[in-house]
Amino acid sequence: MKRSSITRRTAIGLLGLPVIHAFGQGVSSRGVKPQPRGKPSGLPFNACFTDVGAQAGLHAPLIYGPADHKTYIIETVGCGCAFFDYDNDGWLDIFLLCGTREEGAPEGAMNRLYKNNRDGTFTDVTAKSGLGRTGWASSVAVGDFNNDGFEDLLITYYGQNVLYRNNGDGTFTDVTKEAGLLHEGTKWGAGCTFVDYDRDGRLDLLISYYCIFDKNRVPKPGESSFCNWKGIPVNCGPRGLPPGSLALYHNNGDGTFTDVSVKSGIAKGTGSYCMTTVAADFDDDGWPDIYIACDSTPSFLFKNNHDGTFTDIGLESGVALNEDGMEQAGMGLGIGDYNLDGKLDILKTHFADDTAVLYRNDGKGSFEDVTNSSGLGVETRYISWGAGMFDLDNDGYPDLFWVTGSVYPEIEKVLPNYPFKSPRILFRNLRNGKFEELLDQAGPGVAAPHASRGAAFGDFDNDGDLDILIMNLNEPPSLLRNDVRGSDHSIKVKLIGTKSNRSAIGARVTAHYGGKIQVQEVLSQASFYSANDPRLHFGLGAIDKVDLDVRWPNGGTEHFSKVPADRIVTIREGTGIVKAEPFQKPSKTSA
Amino acid sequence: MRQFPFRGTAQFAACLLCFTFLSSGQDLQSWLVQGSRALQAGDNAGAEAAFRRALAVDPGSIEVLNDLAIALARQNKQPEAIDLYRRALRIQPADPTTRKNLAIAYFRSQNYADAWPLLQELSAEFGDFQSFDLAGLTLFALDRYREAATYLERANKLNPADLATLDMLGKAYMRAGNYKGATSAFARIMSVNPNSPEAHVMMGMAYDKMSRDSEARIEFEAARKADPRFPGVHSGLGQVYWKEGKVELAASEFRAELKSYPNDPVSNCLLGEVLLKQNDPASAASHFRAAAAANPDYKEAQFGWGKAELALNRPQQAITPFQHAIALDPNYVQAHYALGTALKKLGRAKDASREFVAAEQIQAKQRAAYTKKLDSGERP
Repeated sequence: MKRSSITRRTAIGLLGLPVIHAFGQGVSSRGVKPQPRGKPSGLPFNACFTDVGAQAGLHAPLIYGPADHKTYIIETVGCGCAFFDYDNDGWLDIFLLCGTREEGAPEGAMNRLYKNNRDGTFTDVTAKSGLGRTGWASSVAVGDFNNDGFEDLLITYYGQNVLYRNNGDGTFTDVTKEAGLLHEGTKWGAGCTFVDYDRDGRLDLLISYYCIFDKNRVPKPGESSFCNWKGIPVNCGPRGLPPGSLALYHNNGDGTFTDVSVKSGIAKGTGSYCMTTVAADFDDDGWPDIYIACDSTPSFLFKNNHDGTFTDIGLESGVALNEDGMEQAGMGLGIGDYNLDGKLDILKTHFADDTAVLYRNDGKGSFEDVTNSSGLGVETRYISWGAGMFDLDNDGYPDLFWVTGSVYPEIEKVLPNYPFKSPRILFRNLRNGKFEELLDQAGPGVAAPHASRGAAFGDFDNDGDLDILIMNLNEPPSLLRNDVRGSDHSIKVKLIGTKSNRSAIGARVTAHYGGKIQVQEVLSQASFYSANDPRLHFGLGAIDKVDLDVRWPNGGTEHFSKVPADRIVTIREGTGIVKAEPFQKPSKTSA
Repeated sequence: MRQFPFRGTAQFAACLLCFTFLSSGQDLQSWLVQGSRALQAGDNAGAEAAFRRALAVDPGSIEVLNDLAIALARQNKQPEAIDLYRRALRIQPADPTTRKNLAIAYFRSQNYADAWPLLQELSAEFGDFQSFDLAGLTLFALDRYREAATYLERANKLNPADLATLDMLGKAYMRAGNYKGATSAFARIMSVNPNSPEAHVMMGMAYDKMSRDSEARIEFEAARKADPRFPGVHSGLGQVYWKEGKVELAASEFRAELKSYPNDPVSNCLLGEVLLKQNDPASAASHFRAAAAANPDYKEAQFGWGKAELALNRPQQAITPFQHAIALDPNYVQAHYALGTALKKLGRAKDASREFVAAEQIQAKQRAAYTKKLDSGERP
């Protein structure tokens, strides 16, 4: 300032100017002020979540670095989990990823597979399955890459990613090398998703790499004053670390993959710290696009050009940055149709002192950030991860849910407003484009604080609602059983591809009920590094019949009229509905 | 302004006989006495006339030059006063009184760049309160806040009871980002005047900057108690509430500030932000406009105004404030992106894309700079 006159008034005024954006820490955190919370709607919410993880037999803690301090970023990011039916018995099993520790893994720290006993409990079948690997696991994608009728797994690691073939007999075989997916050196595999990008009926594979991490080159907390958060020394990154990359592998149909990253244009996605990946048809042109949540850097939206190539349109379509053009700490992704307009919208989770962002798809290849106008801006307290856009109370309108947890255990001693363990977040859909945060109305499982990361949404007890599996750092997982009250209806749609990939990944179902339409797609990965129940769940409110339009990944369409609700409907491509099983009675007392 | 030039009359009278204008001494003396009396009576024009007559008698007298310059300076005729002091210095370059008077004249005419070298020399030579104080104020005006604080500290040491010096010292520390120093200065003011609303406000701001929110709140509340109409009391308290996420409380404080000071840019701008968050863009726009009108260089107000226009679905009206914000700060990421959004809504995809890319490139540069600093082991 060149002073023309120093007066009390100007001195005060100029000193008091607000600072909207502060840069200079390792993550994107915008210091966003929350929106004022309005008066509660007073409307009942019919879902209630209870953590039944321990009762269900999920006892093993999910190790990820030390519990009370984090020296390196590798110890903070955590990993995902999956609901999937590995043995095709019609009941969701549970797969949980696990990390390790720099000083060596504690006994039992490994990825685990739990078989659903169909009575609310699970049996640890890790040893038999061959999935019990120890390492810095990141994410999981579920898909039948060899179309043999059993879901396979791709797991990313800091180290070497692993492709597991499901042998159909309760065991899995590491086929990474045969598949041509071995890479040189240590890489930090992050998100991954199966996607049939060329619609040839075979699942291809997209893998994101977070950053290049070498613990010998990264300052420890306190070694560089750049590695601090709110003035407190913390683990360093991701800013300052070399960004990761993206890789796309084409499925050759013979159990092997070919790296087409450069040829497809995916390799042009550079400079960002890539995390969760989602393959879905955002522009509704019948071809899967790819959206990648990126941490503290612009996120990518790769539009499928229908010729084996992709173009990043994230910036111009409005989903690379938030409505102020700011990079956010993109971690988790929820995909759904919250406003029932037949278009896929995006929920992305971020750091503390920032909001999650909700992008409304305008159907013209463009998105609008509606975070504030939808009411999400009231919540800025916690670092947020696995997320979903699902109808949790079966009223016919998708709600929003995400899990939270800090990456800096050291902070809460100095700044109690930033606890390491924090509650889950649930926003109920108010049916007018707006949401209301339910702070303690959704049950004890939502209010309980944990340092959570991955979350998978699925109906493990087949009772017609959506339960939630959550990865908690250095604790056993949470299994939030949903007990929906009232008489609202729902339907689940399980799709089996024949010409299309057998997992039907990329299939799009449009449900028509009570004058509403809602679209969903079968995804291989979403939330944070996790895989949801592949059976699409539609809450229907008071409506007990639904019309379904299915668009298969290969482009074919089928229509089903007046399908009765309250059952799991299995549709085989080209054959129609092959099974319709009523939901189980609620299993409140079984676990 | 507390600094008054040193008059030459007394010195002159003391050594009158030593000088060489004996032949016209009688006339000169009477003009000097007349001028001196007029000056004392506040008749600056009369003093000027008398000293001009004296100067006509002895054009080479530095004493007369000083006295005439003082009479002129008191009439805000600073350029003429400066000329006279310069003339005096040509006669006697080392004369401390003339140098000090010239420095004061420079300061009063807001020519701080010329005042500073003189004051630096005078401080070093004499180490008196006035030199340190003026030097500190001059450095403050030159935006050299850290150095200003050093000089003002020295002045304060020589005259601890001077609250005005302490006030500027605290503000210099604030501007220098030395908030601990600022709290120390304001605490010294409060030890003398515990109910100084300004000291409480400034102390509150210092705590606010140090993220010591509860202490900041206490100070602003004390200021409010001392004088609820004091400028910045409600605005400061509102900013603490705003920071704490108590948005509604913040809004009521901003409104209270605006009741007393309707044009206060900070309160208008932040209230605009609250209203925007409350999905009331029409009211938000009016507050942002008021903030921008009061301080057109307030980039956040320009940006907020544009955002409100966008929220009102008036992209065309958003363009100018966004462009204004970018002109004020070409690296204003949010303004570039929001301008892109407005242009996109107007169907100008190519122009929009340019702004989106600009927003991203600014952040990419910031990332690269951060990485470079981290790699080099440089400390912030």
